[in-house]
Amino acid sequence: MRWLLPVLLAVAGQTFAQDNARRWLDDMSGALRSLNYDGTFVYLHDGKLEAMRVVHQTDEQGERERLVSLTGSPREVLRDDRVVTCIMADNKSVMVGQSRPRQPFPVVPDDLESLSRYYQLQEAGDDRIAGYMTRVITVTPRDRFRYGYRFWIDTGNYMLLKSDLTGVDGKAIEQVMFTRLNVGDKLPVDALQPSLTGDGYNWTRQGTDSRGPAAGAELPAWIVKQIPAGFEMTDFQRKRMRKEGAPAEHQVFSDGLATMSVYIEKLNTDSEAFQGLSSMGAMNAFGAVVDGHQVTVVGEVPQATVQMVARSVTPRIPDND
Amino acid sequence: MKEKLHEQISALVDDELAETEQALLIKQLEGDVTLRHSLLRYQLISDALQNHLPRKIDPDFNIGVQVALQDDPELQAGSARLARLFKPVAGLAIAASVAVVAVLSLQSVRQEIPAATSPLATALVPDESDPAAVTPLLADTSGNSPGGAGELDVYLVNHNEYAVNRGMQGMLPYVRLVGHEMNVDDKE
Repeated sequence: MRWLLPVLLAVAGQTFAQDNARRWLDDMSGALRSLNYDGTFVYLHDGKLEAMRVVHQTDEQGERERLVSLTGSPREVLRDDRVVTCIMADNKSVMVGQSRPRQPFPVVPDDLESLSRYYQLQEAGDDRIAGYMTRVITVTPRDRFRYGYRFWIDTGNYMLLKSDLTGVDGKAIEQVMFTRLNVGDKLPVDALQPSLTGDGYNWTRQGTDSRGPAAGAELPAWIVKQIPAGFEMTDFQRKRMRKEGAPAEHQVFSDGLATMSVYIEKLNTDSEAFQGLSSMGAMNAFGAVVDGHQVTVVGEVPQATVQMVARSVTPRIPDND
Repeated sequence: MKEKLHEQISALVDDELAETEQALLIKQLEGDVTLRHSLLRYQLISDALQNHLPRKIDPDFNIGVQVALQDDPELQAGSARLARLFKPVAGLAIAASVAVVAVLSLQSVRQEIPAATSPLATALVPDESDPAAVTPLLADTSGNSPGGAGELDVYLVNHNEYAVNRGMQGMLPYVRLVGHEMNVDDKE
């Protein structure tokens, strides 16, 4: 039994280390939402480099945020506690959606035991980014169904100064790094105002949710038969995705860090189905047609994951309309 | 003209360049190696003035990393994606610490990932070498999405709201939407 104590100590040490890393991630999520900041950062993806500015303010009126591209065509997202507005000059479109109430802290699940079945959380030393000291936290997936992350977190105020998202092969798929960041300063009034008016653009307004969380009596009309271990349904509703058209069923699955949305919408006779893979950096989508319905799975997970999930969606009752 | 550019670079390093000018300068930096070197020099001077430098620094450090990457047969054979990845890493000289990023990217390439726990996952991984297998997500108007790409965009915006609440995303919310330019040529 002399071996028991060292083993127990090693296990306890590992749990303690993972819990420390989880606390860093919690503090980072809290800082991103509760601090006032105005910064410029670069976003590296698919061999391209984009510069963006983010302005974030939290006060008695709630949370307000503005994200604007500094390179390429003007693109802008404005968000407050009620509405999210995306203005895209390149295709002259404006999308207005309902913003969701933010989840209370902590964002990273407390249940470390369940989380650590699918990810290994580690502190990986200190580094300096844009002149600030940071703690590096790595999140390594234990299977090929999810991505890994590396976060550089300011040791003073817990702001995220740099992040890498890594693919199943461990290579960085996306990188974000601040080159300038002012935290805590009073923001100028016009910093949160859109620079694009949206005049003459095509406007798309999403409908409101017609159904709350999945805990109610009504069951989803569609079943996802194959989903990676650890993913659980966190939200379910039926909503009109556009002003016109039939309501779509929307199921959200999360493993605590990664999130996937499954949309099922009746296919219009005059519209062409989206089938196959599509990607935007680390965000992947897979479309399939099942029983006259468009099934689309979107998420910050590998292509294999959205593909597997989309192909497993079936109606609860066959020939369901 | 050159002098004005150098003034702009100096202002960028000192965080005194107007936002509108930043966008223009970054575009020029992307396509001009000499300008990127100038930026590195200005950054070095700025770091030195602010006492941010280590005791010893090799100004050609990032070039050394590039050469090491190019000479590594394992990485050469690894994938074309690395080349695509590394090119913008050099471009990250726009940021304050290009050398740091280059080294971190190099480390990420070599990082070991646990083997897949399910054979299903491996079998399902699509062939990424076939570009036709994967289309760009935003505003994909090449004709394979219902009613145009707008439908997929609506899903993306909607999904972002849930992802912000339920997960980490690995970055700031909505960065992907703003950071991915739409292909207008395909649309017209």
